[in-house]
This record gives sequence, C-alpha cells and structure tokens, in this order.
Amino acid sequence: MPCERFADGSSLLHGADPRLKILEAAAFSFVVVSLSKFGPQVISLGMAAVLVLIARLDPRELVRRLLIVNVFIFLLALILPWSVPGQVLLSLGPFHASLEGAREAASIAIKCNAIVLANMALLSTSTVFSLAHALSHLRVPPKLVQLFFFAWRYLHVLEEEFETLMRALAARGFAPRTDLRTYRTYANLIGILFLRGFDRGERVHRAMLCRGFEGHYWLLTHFRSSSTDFALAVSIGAALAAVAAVEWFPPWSS
Amino acid sequence: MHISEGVLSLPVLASGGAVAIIGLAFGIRRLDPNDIPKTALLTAAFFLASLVHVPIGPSSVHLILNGLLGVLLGWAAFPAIFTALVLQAVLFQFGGLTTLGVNTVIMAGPAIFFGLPVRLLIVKKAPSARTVVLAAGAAGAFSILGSGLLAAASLALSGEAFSGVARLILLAHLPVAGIEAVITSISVAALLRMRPEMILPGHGRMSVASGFALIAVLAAGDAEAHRLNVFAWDSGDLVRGEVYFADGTPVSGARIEAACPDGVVVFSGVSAIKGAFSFPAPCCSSVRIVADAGMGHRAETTLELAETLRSVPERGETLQPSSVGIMRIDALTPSAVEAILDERLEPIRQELARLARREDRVRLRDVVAGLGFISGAAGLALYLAAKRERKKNTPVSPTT
Repeated sequence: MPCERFADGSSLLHGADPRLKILEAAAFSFVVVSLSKFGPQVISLGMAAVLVLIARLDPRELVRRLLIVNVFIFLLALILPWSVPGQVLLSLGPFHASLEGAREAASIAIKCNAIVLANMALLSTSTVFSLAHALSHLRVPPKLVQLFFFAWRYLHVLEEEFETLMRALAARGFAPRTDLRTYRTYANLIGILFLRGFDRGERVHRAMLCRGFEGHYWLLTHFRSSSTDFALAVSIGAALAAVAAVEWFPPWSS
Repeated sequence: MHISEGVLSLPVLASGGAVAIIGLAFGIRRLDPNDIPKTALLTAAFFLASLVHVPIGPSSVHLILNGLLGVLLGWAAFPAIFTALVLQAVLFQFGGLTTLGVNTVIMAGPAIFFGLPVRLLIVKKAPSARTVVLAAGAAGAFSILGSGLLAAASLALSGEAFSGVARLILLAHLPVAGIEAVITSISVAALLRMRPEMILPGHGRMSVASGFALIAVLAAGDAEAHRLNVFAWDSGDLVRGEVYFADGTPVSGARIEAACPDGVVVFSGVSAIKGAFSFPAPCCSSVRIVADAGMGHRAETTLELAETLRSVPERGETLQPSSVGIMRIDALTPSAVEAILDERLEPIRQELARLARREDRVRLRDVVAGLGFISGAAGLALYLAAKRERKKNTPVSPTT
C-alpha cells in the first residue's frame, strides 16, 4: 500500500505548520472548484505546480499518483465531447464530437490536476499523525479525530494480518476466478479481516483503559507558526485572491 | 465510487457537504467513546477490503462493502466511511476536500439507509441465521445500488453534459451490487458463526430508542415499536384512558392534556400507575387528548363524546343516571341491551379496526426483506445455472 511517501523531506512545505497547510489546501480546493474560465484555471494549475516544486516531491511517485487520478478524467474526456451539443469538431457516422464538450473535459482535467497537485504539495508533506494533531487543534470534534487517529494507527497492523491471510491462500494454490468458490473464499477472508479488526479494537481499548485512558487525548505539544508560515499563507491567499479576481473581473473583457 | 475534484457543480458540492455534516454530527453523537477503537479498526478493515479485487468475467472490480459496514456499525458507519475517505484523500489523492461531503453521502447514506434496518432487525427480533444472511445480502446489494444512484444523480445534477456518464456509472454498479450481495451475506454468515456478538451486541449497548428523530424517516417499521399510543373511551360521566407504548408497555407519569374543539383545556394531569387516567367528561362534542411521555414521545387521540348517554341535567329529557338501573331494569328487552352494548363497544371496535389497519400496512422492513429474498433467489438460480453450464463445458481438471 503506498503511504506517506511524500512525508519525508526537508523542503519549506515539509517544515510548515500543518494547521495552516490544511486551511491553505481547503482554500485552494474551494477556489479552484468554483473557477469556470480557462485563464484562471491555467493560472491555478501553475500555482499548484509551483507548490509541488517548492515541496520537491519525488517525480516518479508524483507521476504514478497523477496517472491513477487521471483514469476517471480520461474516461470523462472520452465521453464528454460526444454528449455535449455544440460546434462540431469531429464526426463519426451519426455521432458528433463538439468543441464545447472537449472544452468542458479540458477544464475538468485542469481543475482536478491543480487540486490534486496542491493537495500533494500541502497535505502529503505532513505525516498523517501530525495532520490528526493539527485537526484537533482546528477544533474538529475529538471523537472524529480519535477515529481517524486509530484507523491510521492500526491500518498497517491489520494490513499485515491481511497479507498473511492472502499468503496463506496463495500457499494453498488459490487462484481467483469468476465463480462462487472464489467469492466465498473472499467473503470468508473479509469476515476474518473484520473479525480481527473487532478483536484488536477490543484489546486496544482494554489496554488503554489499563493505562488510565479517560476518553480524550491531552494535547501536550502545540504548533507554533513561524513568520515563514505566515508568509506562505499570505502569499497563497494573495495568489488565490488574484485568481478569483481574474475569474470575476476579467481584465481583458472591458 | 469516487467522484473526482473539479467535476461536480458548486450547488451539488454544497448540499453534499451540508448533508454530510448533519450525518456526521448525528453519527458522532451516537458513537460511544468506548467503541471508538473498535469502530476505527473496522474502518481500517473497510479501507483494506476496498483493495481486494474480485474477478468478474474478464475484468475485476474492487470491493466496497459499505453495506456490510452499515450492518456492523449502524450510525457509526457514517463517521467511519468519512474517515476512510479522508485517509484515501490524504494517502492516494482519491477524492479531495471539496468532494469529501458528497462522496461520504454517496457511500454512507445508502449504507445506513439499508444497513440500519437490517441491524435493528437483528438486534430487536433475533431472527434465524438464514434471515440474517438474506437481509445482509440485500443490504449489501442495495447499498451499492443506492451509491450508484446517488453518484449518478450528483453527476446528472451538475450539468446536462454528464447524463451519459451518469448512466454509465449506474450500469457499472449493477454487477458490483451482485458481487457485494454475495460477499456481504457470506461474510455476515461467517461472522455469525465465528463471533456472533459482533453482530448481535449485548442488550443496552444500542440505545435504539433514543434519538429516533432522524431514523424514524429511514426505518419507519421499527420506529413503530416505541411509538406512544393513547387510547381513551367515554364511560358515561368520566372519560377514561390509557397511555402505552406500541409494544404494550403502559406509561405512568405521562403528561395528559385534554381540550375541547374550541381549544378550552378541560383537563391537565399525569397518567397514574399502569398508564391510566380519567377525568370528568366535558360538555362538548369531542375532546382531543394529548399524551406526552417526554423525549419526543407524543401521542394524541380525539374522542367523540356521545352526548345522549350523558346525564346533562339542563336537558333533562334523558334518563337520570341514578334511576337507569333501578327504574327501567324491567323495561330492558334483549334488543335494548344489545343496543346499549353496541353503543358502548363502538369505540373499542373502532380502535380494533385502527389497529388492524396499521398491522396491514406494508412496512419498510418487509419491503427490504422481500427485495432481499428476490435478489437472493435470483442469485441462487443464476449460480446454479452457471455451475451446470461450466460442468458441461469444461472437463474436470486432474488436480490430484
């Protein structure tokens, strides 16, 4: 399972305050989603690219993740030109691909990639634990943060159990096919996986009670935002404001 | 099914976010802090299960299992699915911050809508293992179909251009629903054998009755079990009545208020032991009785008062109450007795009719169970057909 591949690093973004990074990523996503014009969308993609450069992410992993995300976008790009009416770009028998459809697909591709790049640069450069920590400082309900924290903490433990089960299946010559036997095997596998999760959760809870857990985590360390963090937040904010301004008050339209 | 960032329109994103916040708030409020580690581990299992690719023909689909999570966790499935989606967004960039709300609603909404009735059925009615398995399979299939429907709807609502894609997505969910039905029902059966308490939690754990405000819409069938009822009848000088829950438990201490049609409150008090109450019959054509047992349990009934039977001194022309039995006893022919009995029994008859009507109504539970049975039977038939087909076509491979 690919995990926190981007979290190790020493760039400016790796060292930045995760609380501010979460807020910046949220602001970026919501502004970009609301963009409808081509110009601002390209600018936002450029912004995201700059962030990725600042974060100095591993290019191979970056491309790998972008490819996965773009599968859905690719499907949309295949379908949209044919389902949106408009100026005909290409005709295949009774079907016509429209310029408007192609534009729509391009706009979605740009926006989606911009957001994904920005999220990788801003969110994936923190460990999941520090994100959980930051969430509790951002006043996310403590139960939700705990759920997130425990799910992440034990994901790998459970994954190991899961791999063991898969290895046991492979050792017995199991080869998945389209038949009920395969489905039954998988269903039992899932049942055992959930059972292990349930038991482990019970044990974790008892162990925590033994250690005097009272239902909430004490936050002993607090994040401190440096002047660099504020500078980063202000520049991202200003760039987003500029993009929004170009969207709503286009300088070249008058 | 994840919908990527940048596809959906703002109104769809905003309404998805709003519904997700409501669902999350409700799910978190009902999540016992002691259950958090367990819920989190099941979330992790759910996350891992989505990495399992199941072959179907030449292609393969990955499991979703939101229905299974709904059956196992009930309302906690909402925060659990939300958490899994946050993890996916952070780890793989599948979905993002803006679509988090919509995607949570798409996956968790149907999971709870279909999983919770099954869960309530299991907890409250302790049905046979076969019913549990069939119901779980139905929950698995319908959760996926519901998710496909919601995903298609949010795409279609985002713009005319997406209607083709929406249709494709809906179609793509159909085979997944079949597989999920099989996997969910068999996993539930396995869990029921290995660790029944995972599915049949101890009593008192699930305070199903509290906080039914939202779920009442979803699972009207079971909400009925804790509905407050008030039943009143006219017994001459007094109006008598009883307050009880629909399962027959009488409720003492419920606040009772009675008013005439003109709004004048003629009685206000509390129900005594065994839920009984009584008050002097007022001088109006009917009386509306409202019982309130707190926690949103309210019931009301309107009782028509038969004025001819009551002793109303001003009118005088009817019988004096003290003289009925003594003076006219010899004048009571069997037919007169019958008439009086008929009149007195009328409210009971009406109440019986009302109960019968309620019993006859098809409940959501029955619908779900029925659909589940149909899909289960269809699946079984298809399986048998496929098996026969395979036996015919492929020679038995020498495995030993």
